[in-house]
Amino acid sequence: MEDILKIELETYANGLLDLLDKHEGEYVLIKGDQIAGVYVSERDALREGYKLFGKGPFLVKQIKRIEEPARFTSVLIRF
Amino acid sequence: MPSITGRTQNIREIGPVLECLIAPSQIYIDTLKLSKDELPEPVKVRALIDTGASTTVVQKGIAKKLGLNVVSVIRIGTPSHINVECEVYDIAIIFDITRVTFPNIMVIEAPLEGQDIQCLIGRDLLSTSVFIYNGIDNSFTLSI
Repeated sequence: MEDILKIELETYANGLLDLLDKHEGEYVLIKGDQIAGVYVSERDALREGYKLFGKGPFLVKQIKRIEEPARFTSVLIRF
Repeated sequence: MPSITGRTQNIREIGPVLECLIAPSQIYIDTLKLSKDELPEPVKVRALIDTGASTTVVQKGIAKKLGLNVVSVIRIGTPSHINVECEVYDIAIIFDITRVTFPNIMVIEAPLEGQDIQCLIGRDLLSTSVFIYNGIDNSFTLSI
């Protein structure tokens, strides 16, 4: 995968402790090294992302203490 | 509750497969105030309803065809790989025959190979649906 959201993911990791403190379970919107906002729903975060940054890219991520990977049993997915 | 029923000659061999269209999400279209002329042509895919997939997946390259940018990243685990980072896109899924639509869904983009399947409909989408697999009748019904 290209490092297309590398800076946004670093911004999320750097701000995670503060975000967890006040907004655990909510959705953060990040562009570059800036946290643009925190929203109760994923759809609200996406809507605001398109309003602020047009077609993107930007990062919307649920604020979680532990992030479990999505699970697949299918062998159709091949990297 | 709108329903889609599919029937195949041998559902055990082929699985619950149906034709879908992948398009930009309704939130994307509404927020960016895109007119019909500005919208890309939806991409037709063959989708497998996969209860072993926690999240819906589309074939790598579809988002680019639709001119969409990545909006998130998550890690996934498969039988052969653990903690692989995948890009996430915001799309709509339209079931081709009935035009029943999931207007806003966040999907993973990943390489799907080997069986002419370009989309796995996962448990995220099934979490708001009723899925009936009728092996005796070689049919399935998805009610949304």
